[in-house]
Amino acid sequence: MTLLRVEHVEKYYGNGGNLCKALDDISFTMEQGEFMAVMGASGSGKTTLLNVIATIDTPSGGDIYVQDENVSTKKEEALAAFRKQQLGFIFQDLNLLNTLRIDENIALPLTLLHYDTKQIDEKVLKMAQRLGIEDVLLKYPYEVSGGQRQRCACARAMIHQPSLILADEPTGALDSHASYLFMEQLLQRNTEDHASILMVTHDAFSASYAKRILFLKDGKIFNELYRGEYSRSSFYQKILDVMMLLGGDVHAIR
Amino acid sequence: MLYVKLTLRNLQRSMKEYAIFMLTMVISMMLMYSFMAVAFSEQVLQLSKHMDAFAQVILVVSMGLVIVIGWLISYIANFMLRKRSREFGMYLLMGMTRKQVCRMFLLEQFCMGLFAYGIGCILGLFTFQILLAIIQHIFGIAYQFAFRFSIPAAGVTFLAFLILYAYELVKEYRILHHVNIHTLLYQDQQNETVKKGRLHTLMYMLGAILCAAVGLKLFYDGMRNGIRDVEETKKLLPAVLLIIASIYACFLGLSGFLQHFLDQHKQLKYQHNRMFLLGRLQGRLRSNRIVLATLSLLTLVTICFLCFGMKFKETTDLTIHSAAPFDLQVITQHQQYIKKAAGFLAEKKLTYEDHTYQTYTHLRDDVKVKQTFAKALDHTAYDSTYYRTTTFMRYADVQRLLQLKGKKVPALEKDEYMLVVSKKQQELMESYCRKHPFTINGKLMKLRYVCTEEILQTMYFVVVPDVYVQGVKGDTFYYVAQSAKELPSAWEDQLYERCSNSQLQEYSSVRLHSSYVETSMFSYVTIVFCLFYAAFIFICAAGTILATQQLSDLEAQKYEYALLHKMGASRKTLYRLLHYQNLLYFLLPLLLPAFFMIPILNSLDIMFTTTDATTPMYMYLGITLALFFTIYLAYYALTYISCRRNLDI
Repeated sequence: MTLLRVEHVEKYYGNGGNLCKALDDISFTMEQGEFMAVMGASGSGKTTLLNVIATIDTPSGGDIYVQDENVSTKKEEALAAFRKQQLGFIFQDLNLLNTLRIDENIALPLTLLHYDTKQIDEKVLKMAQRLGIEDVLLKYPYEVSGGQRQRCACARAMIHQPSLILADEPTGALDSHASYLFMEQLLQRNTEDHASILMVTHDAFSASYAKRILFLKDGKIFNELYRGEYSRSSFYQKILDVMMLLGGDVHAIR
Repeated sequence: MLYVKLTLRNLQRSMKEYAIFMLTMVISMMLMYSFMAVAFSEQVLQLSKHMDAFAQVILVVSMGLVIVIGWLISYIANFMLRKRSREFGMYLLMGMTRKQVCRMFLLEQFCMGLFAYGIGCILGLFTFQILLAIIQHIFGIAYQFAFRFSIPAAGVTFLAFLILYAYELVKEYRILHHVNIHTLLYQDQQNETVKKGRLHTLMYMLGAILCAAVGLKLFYDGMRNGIRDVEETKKLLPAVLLIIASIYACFLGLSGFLQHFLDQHKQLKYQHNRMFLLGRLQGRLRSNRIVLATLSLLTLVTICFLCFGMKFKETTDLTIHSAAPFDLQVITQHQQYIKKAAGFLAEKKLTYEDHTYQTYTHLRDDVKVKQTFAKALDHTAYDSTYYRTTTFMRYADVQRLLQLKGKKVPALEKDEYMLVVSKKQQELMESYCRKHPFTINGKLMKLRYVCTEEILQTMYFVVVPDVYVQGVKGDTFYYVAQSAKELPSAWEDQLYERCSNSQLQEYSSVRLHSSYVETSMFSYVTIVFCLFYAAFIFICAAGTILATQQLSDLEAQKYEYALLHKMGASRKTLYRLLHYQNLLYFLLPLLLPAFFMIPILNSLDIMFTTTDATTPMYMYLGITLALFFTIYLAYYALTYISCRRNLDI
């Protein structure tokens, strides 16, 4: 079943003679339970794409459908409700609220949804156990490592079982080991819980965990890769090959 | 030139970012200038011979307030240093010397203070007029506008400003001179160490409750028993220290207590976005425990000052009538001075009526008297040796005295007596007299009449038919006079000289109503003005610190609210959360004063037991809180508007 449909989406910044086209006629679909990555160099428009899908930013043109609902035309209150119910976010950094403990950060989406208060603790504990962070539940974000913080962010993004999880450079602030642990967890959530994940990254290692990758260049879809039967290491190599071209054209490689 | 440019730009930015602090500094300087101008004003000094003492009191109070304002300046300067530590680190990293960085920051601070001083003095010209009008009204003089810049007032205010900033600038210079670059660059990433554990929290909260209970009890006992026994007032200092300790202990444990409470009542925590709100509040509590406790203490002191000031006004108004009931009153143990007082008045060729009389501590030796009037005061504030002796007066004397005041009194039969008592004690004395017999020669005397007219400076006295004091040697001689025109207060000293003889150690008490009013008004103006002056500064300081704390982490706040918005909280929800967040934070320092206010005011009220004031001090809480919240909520409103503008959602 198609979860996400992006149709001819455009995004411009600036005005008059100072116009910047961040997204240029982007169209693609994403299926339920798919793990998809969006890659590109800095300024390619990948974060802008994530922001318009997340309804944080409004597209200048085109439509975005999530579960056949056009989100680009909703009003502010309806968008807030949509984000609350249907979306989960993982950012690169500054994900968590320092004023809340880890368990409270994870529970935050449930409280926004006015979830049954008697069940919140149980859900939080289960999610924390699955992500291996049950030992740090009573700590504050600044008392735990970066990897643990990101796993907490992952738990928070998934606890209310959203239709779509959006991750913006989730391993950007992590070391290689922490990145590995985090991506393994994310993959597990995709395979075991059938979570639909759309991840923006510039890191080929992280992207190799996805089943499908969209490459953006100058606001347009440049290429698309499907993992298919490839092993992760082979897929990783293929990603690197495409990335070489993202910064220039074939003739630029000497 | 670069440094001048940088300093000016930083100054502009700081004045904008810390606008609320600048506002408070301007208000402080304005108040200081206007109070100093009042103290040095010729128009005010002429109002009473005591008003030069007023100037000294204002000076002392201002120096005391310099400590509070100094604390505020210190807090804000430290605050700025912490918030801009990265900026200063970058300057040093790029090659500026420490001296140059210090100079830039200190110059910026000094200019901010100088600006506040200048604007404060200009605005002070107008507030001085308001204060002058109020004082002249109190003394019953028509207000006369006289626009004059007071150089002494500006000079003293400038001196206070220098003292305030000199200390602070030296302190900041030393910090900047010794701190290392790494600390400056990464200071904003430091978080406070979180002390967890129920034992810690339990210790603080139990300690707070214990200190509060013992402190309040000691305070009450000290005040109540201190009236009769001065030694008992020694309890007051430990009582005050215990109350202060209680406030600090409470704030040290409050964050932990809140956390544990919410963990035990998760249903409460998870409802209605409370978790986010209380999380922010707890974060603030952890970081600012000591400051919040200090603000709480300041608030309590402010409320006590305001209530005390209002009660003092009531007392002053009532005391004037009881302490100086006649235009002139001379009290002496030596009869010859009565003639001298009468002679003095006669020389002045005034239209007046006078009367001479005596009071008695016993009746005729040949009558058997049985009375227990003094027992009526057992276990009251008047339970002391001073009130053990009942004073008697002749009916004819009382009739004449009341006549001088334009009042009439019914005649007394031989078996009747009259009670003259203060309004406050009327019910107590009258009910006692009706239950306990007063007999003369075995015959029961009937209480004919109770009069509450102010005649004598005593709580009560008994009026008997003249026959019972015939031939009795009186204890004290009194001379009273009522004049058609008010007698000049300057005569009091002249009369005192005429009615006393220091060589023979013979002294009389001379009380001119006009002079007493002047002295009372001076006391009233001095005490009430100083209390309100201090209270106003305290409220502004508290509001400024709370506002600055809330506005200080606008960036972090913006990020958190933006995150919440991304997670699906609507704008309406976010604005509501912002409003509650600010409101709760502003209400936090009021938590403990709300608890301590009434017991402390009740205890302080005991000081006024022996006066004629009847309104309990806590009855003034309504007006006090209205005044307090008018200023406090203005700071809250400014803070909320700034926070909301910054949200940018």
